[in-house]
Amino acid sequence: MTLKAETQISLGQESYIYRLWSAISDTDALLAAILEESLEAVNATRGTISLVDYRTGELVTKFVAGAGWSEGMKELRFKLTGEPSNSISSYVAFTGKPYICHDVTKDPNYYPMFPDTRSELAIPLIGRGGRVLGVLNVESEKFNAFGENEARVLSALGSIAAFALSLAAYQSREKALIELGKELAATPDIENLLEKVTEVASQLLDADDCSLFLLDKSINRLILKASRGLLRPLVGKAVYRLGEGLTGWVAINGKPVRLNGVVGDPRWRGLYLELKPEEISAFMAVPVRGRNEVLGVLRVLRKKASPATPNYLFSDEDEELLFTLASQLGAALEREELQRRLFTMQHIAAVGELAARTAHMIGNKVFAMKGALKEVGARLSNLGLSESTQRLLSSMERALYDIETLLQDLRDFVKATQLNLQPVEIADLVRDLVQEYAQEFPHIEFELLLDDQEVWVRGDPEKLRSAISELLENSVHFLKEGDKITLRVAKSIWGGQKHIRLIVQDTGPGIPEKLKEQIFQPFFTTRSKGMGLGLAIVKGVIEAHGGTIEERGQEGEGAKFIITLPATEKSQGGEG
Amino acid sequence: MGKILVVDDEELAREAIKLRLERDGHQVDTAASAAEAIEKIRKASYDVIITDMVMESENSGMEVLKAALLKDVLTEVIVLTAYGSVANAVECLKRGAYDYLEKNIPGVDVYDLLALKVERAMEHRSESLGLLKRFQAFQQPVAVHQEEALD
Repeated sequence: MTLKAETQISLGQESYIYRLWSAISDTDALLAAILEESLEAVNATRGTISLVDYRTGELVTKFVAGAGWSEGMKELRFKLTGEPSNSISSYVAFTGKPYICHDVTKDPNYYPMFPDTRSELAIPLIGRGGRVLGVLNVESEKFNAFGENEARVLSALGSIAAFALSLAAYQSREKALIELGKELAATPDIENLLEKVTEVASQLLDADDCSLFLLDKSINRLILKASRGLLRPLVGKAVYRLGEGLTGWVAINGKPVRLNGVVGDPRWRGLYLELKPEEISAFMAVPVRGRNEVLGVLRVLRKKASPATPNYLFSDEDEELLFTLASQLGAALEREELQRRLFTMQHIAAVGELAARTAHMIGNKVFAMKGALKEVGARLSNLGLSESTQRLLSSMERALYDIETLLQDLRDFVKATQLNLQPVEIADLVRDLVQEYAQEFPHIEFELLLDDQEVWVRGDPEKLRSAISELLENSVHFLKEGDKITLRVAKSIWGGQKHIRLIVQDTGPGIPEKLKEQIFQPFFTTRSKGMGLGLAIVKGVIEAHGGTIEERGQEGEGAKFIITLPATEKSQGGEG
Repeated sequence: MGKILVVDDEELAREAIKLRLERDGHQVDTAASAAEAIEKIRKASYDVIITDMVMESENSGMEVLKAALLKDVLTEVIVLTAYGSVANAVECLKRGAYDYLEKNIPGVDVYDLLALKVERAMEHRSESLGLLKRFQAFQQPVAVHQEEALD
């Protein structure tokens, strides 16, 4: 046969395959058909399509054609190495190159299965990114049965098989992503959602483990929120600093990392391991992004089947997939945060409206009572009152003043979220406050830790001042002679967004664990004075600035309040 | 001593202010609403009017202020505010009120403060009246002059 005639035949067969394909949605049936066609196209006696199982590092026989196959031979597995006698197919899977064997009896790679086999032809099935998905192998009882032409024909058929395999994988990923997208939109419980993401990521990426770290702004650390393997007991406990390890690197740079093993990478710290480092075949981590900043890091690992197994690397597609998952998660997290904040604001607004009306009404009554009381006092003063009666009058007056103080608290609470925004330099503001308090409370030590730089935010200077002052007031109330309050102002950047952190820490008794949930709620107080709006107002002020406040002290070691605010350049804060 | 109108929808507050100011020798009239106050302002004249800001509406104090200034532009108006109505009171100042007073200042005897403000308002009014008299006196000869010139 001339080359031209052969090519025509092969084209005829290919178009047959395409037609077959359009009729067969089942990838398995299609691959079986391709194998049958392959035997015919190159005049082979038998053939196999085997697929690579990267997880185990093996080549697994999936489809067979031709005569003489016994059940035991159909699911044969070969190690994926370049060692001899390990089968020609596994050698091809290992090298990724076509292989023509004219005489199997002289071929060191040949693995004998049938006594009549004389020559073999094997071509790799190559997917996107050059990854070997499997091997199409045919054999003949004649020597020198296959040449360059047969190899070319088989390669053409093989590329269709590879394409079909890639497409099937793609479709299943797409389906899973759509499913997850639906769930992300519908799942009200954020914890479940995080679990779900790690589960889907491991499944889709054929990963042995997946962990999700989310950034805790107030301590500037990445905290493990969900994991599927060995790290599971460390959820909530495993912590990376920003920039620390590969995970910290991803968070601070906002870029993905994909590695062939992890040992030897200078960023690798191995603080929290799903696997032993030498067992890690491939590592991939992507940032979980919100609109303006990195919210966390999603990382996946694949395990090495054995030390000799080639690394099962993550592909470009894998990275795209993980990135998509992370983006969906980022959007869901941000939506959740937005809803929470909106709810809080609405809640505060509703409480505020009620409080304002009530304060107004009570204020009017109190004003009238003060007047009446004053007249009573004026009239009785001529009669020469006893000291105890005088005391009664003045304690009534004091009680009325106390009511007015409470009303003022309420008013401050209502006003907390109405800001008059302008550029504010926080370091200066804190310095002033500390001086003021140090004078007023000489028995307490004040320590101020500032970077030399200015730290600007866009905010309401009066409100910020009173919020920080409320924290100090709170602290001072619980401190004894010789106790210390430390204030630290620091800048940090992640995912391109600058933040400032203000930490107010004292050496007092600290806040009991069981009260921590409540301290920022309105009307919570352990003090006898005031109505417990202090910290609720502080929180209201900080959140109205787009910031966060949390208490992170240990009971018995002192209170530690951490405020995070979005930082601006001085010039940026200038307008308005 | 002055003739004063106290406007407040809270009866007890009205009475307390009245009693306090009467002790200082003022002649005090009261009204329980802006509408009643406007009616009284039409019929009588007052040196000082003390009015609550929020009564029938958020702007009741402003209505009383307008009526008072229309009747006699030198009337001194002091606006009383409870929580949340300070912004309105400041608006009243811009429109010609003499001063405003917050009803609930913890630890401060606001009645004494009000009495003090009334005294200052009386002084202010008499200064203004004096000025007006001088101005009128100054205008008189000018008018004569002009007539002479016309002749």
